[in-house]
Amino acid sequence: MLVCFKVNGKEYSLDIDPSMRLIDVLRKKLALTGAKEGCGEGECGACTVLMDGLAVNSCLVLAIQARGKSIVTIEGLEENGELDSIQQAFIDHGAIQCGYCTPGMIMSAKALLLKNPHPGEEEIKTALAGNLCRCTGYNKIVKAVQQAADKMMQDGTR
Amino acid sequence: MTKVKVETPGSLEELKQCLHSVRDRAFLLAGGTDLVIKLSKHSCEDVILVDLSGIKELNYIKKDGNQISIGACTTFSQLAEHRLLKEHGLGLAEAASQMGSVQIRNRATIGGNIANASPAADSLPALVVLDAVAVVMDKDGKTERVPVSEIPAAPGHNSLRKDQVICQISFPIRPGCRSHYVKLGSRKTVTIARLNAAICAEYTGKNTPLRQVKIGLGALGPHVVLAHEAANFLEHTPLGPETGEEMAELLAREVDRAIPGRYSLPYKREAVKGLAQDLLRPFLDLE
Repeated sequence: MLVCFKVNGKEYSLDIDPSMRLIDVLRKKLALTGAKEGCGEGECGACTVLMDGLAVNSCLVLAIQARGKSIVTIEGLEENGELDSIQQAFIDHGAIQCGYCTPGMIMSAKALLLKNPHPGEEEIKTALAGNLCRCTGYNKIVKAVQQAADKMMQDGTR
Repeated sequence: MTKVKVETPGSLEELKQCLHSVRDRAFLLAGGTDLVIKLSKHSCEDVILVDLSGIKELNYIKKDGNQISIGACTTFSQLAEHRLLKEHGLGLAEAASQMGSVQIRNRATIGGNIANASPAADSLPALVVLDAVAVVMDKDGKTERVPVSEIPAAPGHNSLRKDQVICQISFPIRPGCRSHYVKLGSRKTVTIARLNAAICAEYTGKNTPLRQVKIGLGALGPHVVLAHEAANFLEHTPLGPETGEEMAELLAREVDRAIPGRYSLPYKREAVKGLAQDLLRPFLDLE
């Protein structure tokens, strides 16, 4: 079945098995392996990507349902070799240990900051509630998102 | 591996044609947060899916005279944030905001939550106390109004025919009435309800009884349990700081009647007492 959508700014027209989920197409057809399948049930958030600006679990989206949509994955955040503010903040704050949850965490944070550039701590926690981390204990992740928000406000960037 | 065929109607007209050609053998796919898991985890015979997500006519929240109408494919994020629900159906907005995670709320739909008929569904207690009705359409375009309370038939199974689809949910606006929803799970967020509850009532002033009270308890069985005894008590008791304690006992008795012999009864009959206080607190805070 043919499905057309945009991923990280590039248009794709793909012939896929209709049973494929968005995560399957991203990882297996497009080699965008940043999104991870941690659970396949929408519980861990490691597969989080943006779909038309909203954070979604790509393991729960049938690829056909992404037709006509604009998808952004972790690979789509860096621009001309420069990391996104959120990515840099995660590094600066030690918010990455094994790195497995990181793409999903950053995409959830990205979705939050696109909608709410000045979130409070509780709003950050709510936005990240669907992303599990077994390493960091979350504090540094929340601080990293706060720092990224502050920096983006200072720089006037989104 | 399950072989899947997907139909993608773009309008209600195309949906009717789809239902004609495939419905007895097809599953309706809305947000996919329940169905896609079932497809991935369970190898089964070949399936046909009818994807409703492309039908923009099924996504709306509007005021129609003295009722609020919601398209069946409206997402939980949309429900949680819409000003019409915050004003006229706060209980439903609260239920929506406490369901799943941001990622799940951005995809899950109200029609899907109802049709999935989980005993722990978040929207159901809120919808039942709001007297919500579903507009259900069949393959010939014929519509009927079905109380949302009558759609779940058994855990995970709804009472609709194979050729029927939920198109709209609506509930009446009752002037002066407020609704609220509360939930208990094994953790604070992203949790299936172990027990949930909703209330809809008219607040008439300090130290006076509430009016038109409806209380619904969920996660007790396939249907939301209406707590008539507790509702009647509230309608005849001036609202005060001690009201919650007696209401808590009445709700515990309701749980006793609903799930006799169930292993979770000792937990749920105590837990519901906390929910009783939570349900009343917004009304007490008005004083």
